Order: sequence, then C-alpha cells, then structure tokens
Amino acid sequence: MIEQTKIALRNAGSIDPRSIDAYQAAGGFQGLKKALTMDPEEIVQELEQSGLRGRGGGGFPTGLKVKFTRQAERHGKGNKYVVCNADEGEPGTFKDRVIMEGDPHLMVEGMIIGAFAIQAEKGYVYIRGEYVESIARVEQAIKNCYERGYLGSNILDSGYSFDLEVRLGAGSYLCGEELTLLESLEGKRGYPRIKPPFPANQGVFNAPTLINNVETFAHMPVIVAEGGEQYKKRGTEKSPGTKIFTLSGDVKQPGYYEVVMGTTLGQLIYELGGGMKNGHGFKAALLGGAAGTFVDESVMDTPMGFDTLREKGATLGSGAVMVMDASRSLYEMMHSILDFFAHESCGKCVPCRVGTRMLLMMWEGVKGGSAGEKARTLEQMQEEAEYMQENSLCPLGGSPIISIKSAVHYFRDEF
Amino acid sequence: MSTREVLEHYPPERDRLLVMLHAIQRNNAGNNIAPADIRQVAEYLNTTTASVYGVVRYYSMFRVEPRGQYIIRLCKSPLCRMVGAFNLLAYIEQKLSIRMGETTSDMVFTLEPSECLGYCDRAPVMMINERIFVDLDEKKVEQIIDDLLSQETTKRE
Repeated sequence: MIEQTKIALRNAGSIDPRSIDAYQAAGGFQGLKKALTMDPEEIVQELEQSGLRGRGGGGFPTGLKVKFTRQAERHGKGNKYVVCNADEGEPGTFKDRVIMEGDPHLMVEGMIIGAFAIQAEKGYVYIRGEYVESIARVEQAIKNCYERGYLGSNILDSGYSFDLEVRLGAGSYLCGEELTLLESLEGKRGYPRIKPPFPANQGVFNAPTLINNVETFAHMPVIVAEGGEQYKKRGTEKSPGTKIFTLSGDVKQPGYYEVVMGTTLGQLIYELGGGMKNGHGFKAALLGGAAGTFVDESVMDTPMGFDTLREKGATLGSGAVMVMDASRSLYEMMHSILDFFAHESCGKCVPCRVGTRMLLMMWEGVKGGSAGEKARTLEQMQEEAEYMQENSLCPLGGSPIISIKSAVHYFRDEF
Repeated sequence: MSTREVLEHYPPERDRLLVMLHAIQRNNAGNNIAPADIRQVAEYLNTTTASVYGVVRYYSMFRVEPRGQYIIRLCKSPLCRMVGAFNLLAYIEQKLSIRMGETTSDMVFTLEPSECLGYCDRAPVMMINERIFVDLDEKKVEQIIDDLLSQETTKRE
C-alpha cells in the first residue's frame, strides 16, 4: 500500500493557515533563515542539485530557470522580479488552491527564497479571481510576513529587502500561460507574447523575472533546508521529489494526494483513490487536464514522471487525473475539451482562433456517426491540430493536438 | 462608496487595473463596470477609455451590463460536464426562466458559465457570488436557489 509523502502539503489541513505562529511551530521559515546566511549562488546550486522540475506542467528544470534569471542583466538600475503563477485553471487541477488555502506561508517562504537567489526587489502572486479563499489566505500570509520581518526592508537583519503583493486574474484560462500572465499582470488584455525573449530576460515590465508555479515555490524551503542532494533521494532519477495529483471522476475517494514521483496510475486509483466506484470497470484517464492526454489500462503500471509518461505518448502535466469508467463516453469528453479550447482561445492569432473552432465543428459533425467515421475524422483533426501547433503564437494553439494524438493512439476505434 | 473613492484606495498604476476593476464591480449594485466607471478609471490612470474598455471586455468575470444580485457561475468544464453539469444548466434555466448569460427580470439572479472552478473532486460545482457549492444535484440546487429567493423577498419586504 503506497503512502503519501508530503512536502508541499506537509502542513495543509493540520495547521491554522491564518497563523504565522502555527507555521513557525511546524518548522516554517527554517529554509529561509538558512538561505539568508548562504551565498545566493549556493542556493542556485542546491536548486539545480535537487533536480526539481516545474510543477505547473512544463517540467522545466527549476534550478536552470533560477540560474538564467540570476545571470540576466538588469536594465540599468531596474528591478528584478519574482512572480508566482497562481492562476490555476487547467481543468481537473486544484493542487495550488489546496496549498494556498492550507499553507500559504509555505508558498510565500519559497518565493522569498527564490527572490533572494536572484536578488529580486519585488514580487507578485497572480491569483485567479475566482479563488476567493486563496486570495484572502495569501493576503493574510503576506501581511503576517511583513509584521514579523520576513518581508519588507532588511529581512531578518540580513540587509536584503523584498516586497510582495497580490494581483488578480479575472476569468481567463490563457492567463495561466506564463507570458500571457505577465501581460495581464501589467494590467492589459491577456494576449500572449512572442517567445523568445523568455521571462528570465524580459518578463514583467520587460525586466528579468523568475516565474514559477505555486507548487514549485512550495518545494524550495525544503530543498534549501535539507539540501538538494537529500531532496533528490525521493522520486525518480529524472523527476525527483514529490508531486500532488488531483484525482477526480469515477473513483471512490477522489481528492488530492501528494506522492513521490514514479508512483503509478494504478496505485493512485486503486490504493489511494479506493478503486473504481459505481461497479463499472476502468476505461480511460485524462492526465494533465484539457491540455493533457487520454490513456488506457496499459499505462496503469507505468511510473509517473515527466519522461516516463512522455515515452508512452502521455503527459504528467499539472497532475490532474480524471478517471472515466466503462459507462462514460469518450466522444463526449473529447467534445468538452474541444469546446473548452474554442471558448478560451484569445483570438489574437489566426491558426488558434480558426483552428479551435474548426476542430469543434469537425467533431460535432460526426456526432451519431459510425466508429469508422469518427476514427477517420479524428485522424483529419490530428493533421489540422498539428498545423495549429506549428503556427500558433502560444501553447493554447498547441494544446488540442495533445489530447487528439493520445486519443488516436489509445482509443482510435472506441469513439 | 463612489467609484472615485474606490479608486483612491490604490495608487494610479496600470498594473493595478484588474484589482481596481474587481473592487469597482463589487462596489456597484449592478455587479458591473458601467461606461461611466470606465471613463473614470481611464482618467485616474491617465489612459484612454478604449484601453480600459478593452480590458473589461476581455476578462469573463467583468461585465459592462448590470447583473443580478446573485451571480450563479456554473462550472461547465470537462469533468463537471461528465457528471451532469448540463442537466443542472437546463434545470436552472427552467427554474429561473432565463438562458445562460441572462439575468432574471427582477434582477435577482444572473446565470453565467464558468471554466474549471477547482473542485473537481466534488463535481458538479457552482459558485454564487463568492461562495462555492459542491456535490450538486437538482434537489440541492433547488434548495440553494429557494433559500436565496426567500432571503431576497424578506429583504425587499
């Protein structure tokens, strides 16, 4: 029986999230206190050593990101920034909400450590507007940190100063994409930017910016406190550490579970999730949300990590696991996904604006059709979606191909 | 509070625009950001009305047209749909005699779609103003709406 291994969720649910005393009593700020005595360069090394990869879905090595931002030249006497991407909106994902509601000081501590590593002056937490409770908790945590000298000028007498504020989203999925988030953070429409330049060189207000997901920041205090080498002992070689999986759909105990990387889908569904409910067998899981992949039974025993899943044509993504039993319609699920992308496309670039709408129409056109017709349409859609991926400005236009390709691979004849 | 007073809680900086718009919308009885508000925001930030209007119209949580006292945001993302969100939608539409996106004639309810609200383990889900309601079925939705209706009637009497 697999057990949970809690790093990002180590206090969530067991301490009063509003109380900084409770957080301190649970061992909070040990990482930050240690960090402030270190050379920032050493922190970067520890993060690199840890092998931590971005928990928002991208899986980019966090240490490298921090290193690039640290090395980036300031524009004149301008600031460097740290931004926390708390615009959680990938369908099926709610891990960041659980961290922010249950242990907001942990995320804030991680941000201050990240900021110190790159010597940033200013930071923002960009939280989606619908997350009312998260917003309140994070604002409270920031206020607490100012009162206790963990934020503001001369933090804990270290000579280092850092300010942190909350900014809000207002109902745009696309703003979870990092460059679009930065546009929104500047008070503009959520339109994507062309990449490169990357945020490490030109982020918010065109200044060097370290932008990470909530869960990624929540790992930093532990990595600094115990050292990258120790952290790395958990998980798999290429995907070290733990990951929160948010399990939903046809399982007996849906919810959030933090486990070591390399845990299998089978362990998640049958051990932690209590198995399938309603008496139907397992049919499919959608891993990583709408911008994720359909998988079948054959992936049940694959250790889940960024690379191991990729080898199977699947994605880890944000850690969303939506489980469908034999009674569910894959056609309908695919329809919801295509509907979602057509709705959330911002319209700035043509391949995505037209393409998402076209894919939806193609799929609606075969509703009630034979399995063969659907399979042929799905293959045509795959071609269109590939074209979109190649020609769209941002990852949204490149998202439909992910689920379509996996559907062709695993369920071609089952729609 | 006037819109101007709301604005003056913030330094006139463009990156605070979304925070300001949320505050103005909460402050307005119609749960909206009216053209007059947009002009004041533009003036406060020393920018054009078009620029602020463009932002208001881009984000789905903001609305120029007045809305009801209670904004029902029904999650229609893939998982909620799988477990019956569209049946609930049909039920609410019928109960309130409005369609998705509309407001009841007494200005009590507005029904809006929402993307994933992040409670997928308790789907289907909806949000009414700032409260989340989970594990919904028709009976539960009926109860929630009736409770709000009776509160509203008491208030108006």
